Amino acid sequence: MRSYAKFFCLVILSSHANCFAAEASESSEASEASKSDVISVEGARGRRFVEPGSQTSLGREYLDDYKQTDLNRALSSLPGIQIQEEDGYGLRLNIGMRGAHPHRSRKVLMMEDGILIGPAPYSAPAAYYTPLMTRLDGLVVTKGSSAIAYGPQTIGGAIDFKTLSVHGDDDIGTSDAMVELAGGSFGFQKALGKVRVTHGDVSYMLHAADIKSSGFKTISGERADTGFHKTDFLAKASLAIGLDELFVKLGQTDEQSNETYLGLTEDDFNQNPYDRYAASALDNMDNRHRQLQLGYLINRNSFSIRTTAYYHTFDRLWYKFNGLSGAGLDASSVISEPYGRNQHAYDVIKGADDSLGANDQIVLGSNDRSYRSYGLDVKAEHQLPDAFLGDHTIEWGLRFHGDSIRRDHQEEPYLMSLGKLVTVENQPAAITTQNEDSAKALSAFVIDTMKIARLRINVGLRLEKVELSRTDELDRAGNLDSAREELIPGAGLFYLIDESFGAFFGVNRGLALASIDDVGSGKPEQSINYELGLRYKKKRAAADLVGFYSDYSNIKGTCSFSSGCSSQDIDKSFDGGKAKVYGLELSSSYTGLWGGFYWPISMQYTYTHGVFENRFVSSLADWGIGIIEPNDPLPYIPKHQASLNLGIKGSRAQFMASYRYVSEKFDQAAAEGRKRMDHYRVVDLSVSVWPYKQAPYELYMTADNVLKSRYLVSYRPFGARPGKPQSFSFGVKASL
Amino acid sequence: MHITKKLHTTLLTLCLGSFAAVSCGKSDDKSAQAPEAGNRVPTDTGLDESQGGPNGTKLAALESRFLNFVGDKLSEKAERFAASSVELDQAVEVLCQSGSTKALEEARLSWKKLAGVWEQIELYQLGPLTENAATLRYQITNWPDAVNTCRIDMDVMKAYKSGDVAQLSGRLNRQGLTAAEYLLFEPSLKASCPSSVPVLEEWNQLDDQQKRMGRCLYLKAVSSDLNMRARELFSQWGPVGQNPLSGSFNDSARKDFLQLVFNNLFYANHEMKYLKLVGPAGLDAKYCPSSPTPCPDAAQYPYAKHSIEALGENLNAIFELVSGDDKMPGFKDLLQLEDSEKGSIAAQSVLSTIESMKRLTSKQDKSLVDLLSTASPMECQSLGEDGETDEKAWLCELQAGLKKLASEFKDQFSAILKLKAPQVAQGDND
Repeated sequence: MRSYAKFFCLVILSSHANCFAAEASESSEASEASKSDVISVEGARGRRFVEPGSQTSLGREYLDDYKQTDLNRALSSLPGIQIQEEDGYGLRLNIGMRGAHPHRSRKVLMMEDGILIGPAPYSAPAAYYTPLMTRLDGLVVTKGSSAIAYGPQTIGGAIDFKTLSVHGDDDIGTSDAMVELAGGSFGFQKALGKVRVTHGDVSYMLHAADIKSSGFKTISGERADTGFHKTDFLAKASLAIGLDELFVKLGQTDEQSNETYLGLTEDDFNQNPYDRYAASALDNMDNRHRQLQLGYLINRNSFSIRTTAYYHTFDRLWYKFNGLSGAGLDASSVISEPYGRNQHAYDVIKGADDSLGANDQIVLGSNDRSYRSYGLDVKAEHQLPDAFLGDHTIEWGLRFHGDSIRRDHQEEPYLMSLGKLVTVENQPAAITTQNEDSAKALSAFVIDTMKIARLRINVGLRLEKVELSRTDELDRAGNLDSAREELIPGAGLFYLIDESFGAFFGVNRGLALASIDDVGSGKPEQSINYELGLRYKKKRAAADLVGFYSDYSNIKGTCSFSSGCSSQDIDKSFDGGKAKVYGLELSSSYTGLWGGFYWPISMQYTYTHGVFENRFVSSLADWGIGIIEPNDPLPYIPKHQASLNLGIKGSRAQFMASYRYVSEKFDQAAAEGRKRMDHYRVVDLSVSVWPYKQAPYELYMTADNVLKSRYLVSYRPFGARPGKPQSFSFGVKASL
Repeated sequence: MHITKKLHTTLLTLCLGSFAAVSCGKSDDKSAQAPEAGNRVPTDTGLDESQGGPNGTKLAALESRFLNFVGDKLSEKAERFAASSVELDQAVEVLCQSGSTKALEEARLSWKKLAGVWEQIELYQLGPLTENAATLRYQITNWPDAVNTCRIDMDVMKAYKSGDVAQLSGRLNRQGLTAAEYLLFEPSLKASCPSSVPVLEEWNQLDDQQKRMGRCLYLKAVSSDLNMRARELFSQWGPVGQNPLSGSFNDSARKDFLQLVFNNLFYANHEMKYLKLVGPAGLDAKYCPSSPTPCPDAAQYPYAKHSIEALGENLNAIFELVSGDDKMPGFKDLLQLEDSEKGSIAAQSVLSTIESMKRLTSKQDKSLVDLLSTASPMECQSLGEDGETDEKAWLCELQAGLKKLASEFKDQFSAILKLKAPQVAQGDND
């Protein structure tokens, strides 16, 4: 059993220096590489200080300090990430990187322990599933030329969510356990438990989490359950066979959330941003994610090969407000202009007026989708010292992957009567979509990293070969087959100026494949991405300064209900022609020691300028319907983002504060109907005390949005949506 | 080493400096600001500078005069509408004081007159009638949306209890022409709410006189509001010679205005053909779920049974736009100037179609609601077959006429005048 003193010492010493780049030395990664959980996707990519590309991470310490359950809040501490919040709890992540459109995180590659984790990354890249924060040990964000090790998307970057290690925090194979209970504002409850045991060559870990809230929104001014309930189970086991390792991972996550696509009009938002209209009273998301992974790690002095077979399922049914029955009554327009010809429809949505006929009924849709994702993933690393021109590290990977999405969408009319939704007699649900998309993909990459004196050069190539097909059960003409094959090169170099200072440059092809029913050229989204950076690390201080430029020859967008598209356009991709994104990312951290306290401080600043370069007529809701001119802004990309994390850590207590600033951004690119979202600032706090010197009990309090900022995070899909209001939680955590 | 140290310092300074810069104030970058949404009616009425030779000059002058004509016609109608709304307001006042049958008839006649003028205005989708999602237009009438009679009954009850003129809620389906129609023409004086709504019980306890008084208190508010909206329309559009279509125009503005006015002709297609006829007659399931069994409830002005007269007024307004008058040109003149032969044929075809439809509407004695209440399931393809009734033939002939009008506008007018036909919500598959 680990002692309290040892546990606390680890917390203190780790501080925030490893929130950002450059925290790991090469020697320490050698030991990391021996454990399957730790090497994850990083492999040689783990050499962050000398990596010729951007790689940033959040570690266990950050998660322990802030105890957040919303990944959006955690990711906003990292540079170069754009977030389009949706529900205030982070149930649905919308993440972009370096100007790549954030909606449903389509342009970002999501992995869990190095394995693709999106429900169907090729057939339907929208990320409706992301791991619960409580199961994470940390996460690693890779951008720029380093990202070609991961695909199919290389346009923005990759996020690897690293789940709890089976081997323990200190990697020495001890056993431990943890229980945590918390409660707070808006019916928030959290219960976590974890057991980790190592017995000889066998290790296993069991983790369970149950998180719920009744939600911070009211329906038509009345208290209602607008919250969520998530449960998460994770089990891992490992058998050491000499230097090798056999490992297995099982997981299941369930979610019930009364979430909606329906936001508010601007006037209503200004009056009470936490209200919800009566038309959304029955909205509910019900989903379950299951995963099974089985793998073997061969580990030798000069090489390692990690092979993982995986099978994931994700089933979801989101029953929710889809619109109105009247022809030509578009819910977005009604919410944007809730007067004149739209006033009655608006009143019906709000519950202030009744449905009077067939043209003003509320339509609820049950978007029932089943996803499957399976494959075999092999990653390897070979050390070739003193080979041609210097030391070489060859990394290669091969992945056979298949995935599918089955859509069974129905729509059902309801009458709004005296503020309540009432079923319409003799009008059964109508099937709107019944199809299945599937993909079979072969991916391969090889990267040679060469070390010559102070120079580290890497050159790599990725292959993506995909066959896509669609079976449409409602319309045979909708059956489709297509194939995509793309080569994605990338190269980078790092020059060590001195032992603590270096410069790097990288260039790579950014790519996101076109969907099966692409309505544009059928070509992928593609760009040439450049980055140039400086990196500093000395003792407890670290900083990265990176300039980037993404030159899009064809930017693409994809339709979804959640971005305001109609059912017949779901998952279609559209061309937007030339675009450019450039910017600057700055991150730094320092841990001071003054007055007997540790003072961890870290900050990030991101400048992003993203615009279209062509004049074209857009029919994609994400960009806005209408004419887009050169220099029209990419939507949901704020120019300035910054965060500051400060802490004071003593032997029996600690105080952490997080501040973030997001500048104004636009809801769409097309000038007609373009809405501006104001900047906002949010401060979160966390306080922990360890009341008993000998007992490992932690009492903590967290406060989100302590300054009570009322801020608008999105206008999608139908109306204005708020960020989370001020809320508190109080908890106790026992580590054994 | 010295340079390296300097770089270290610079990098850390940049980190903190830039953080302070962005976190202490709002971004001042205005390069990508969204412009305000433009007014749908072009406002440039500057002089024409380039008119492309003698023919061009003649055409430009004719187009300008045509636009002047359209603007002035709308001014005249708006002025008449305002005057008629005063008459209705006064008639309602008398009705509420006397409660007599004669006063009720007078008020009903005033309403019909007002509705008649409105039906000539409604196809003009211009200026104040389209701005702010057509707020003013929907304040005048919420058609084709339904009137919320139950909520009106609840508000009537509230007004009766207070004994004072009702306060309008601002909900568009409880005010305007359609609300006034319900209050004036609904004959039974029964509450229209379902039994679950408490107003029914209270309402049933009132005698007819009390019910009429309650309705009057609400009607006063409605007619007064209508009068205010009518004056608003006239003041916003402006009088003859001083409206947005007065004066002359440069090429671009003139063409834009012309396109807008041309779009108005297609009122004959969507509103008249589909909403006023095809839907109620049950000729299309999209507009009438019980099709081919008719949907008489979907008829315009079901309480006043005034929908055929409304169609007649719509036809009058379209006829006027196409024919012009003794002094001023209509679309007919533009068509003839563009292509004397084809233009004349197209204009004549449209005018004679309108004339024949006007004859059809004027010869029909029954209201559309009554006519449809007795009609058997409708299918116009079977016209001429045995068993066809007069009502059926009449409806199908009217539909065929409206279809022909829409087709002429879309194909002939559009091609000859080089104007774009607006996207039609539904294809002509009926």
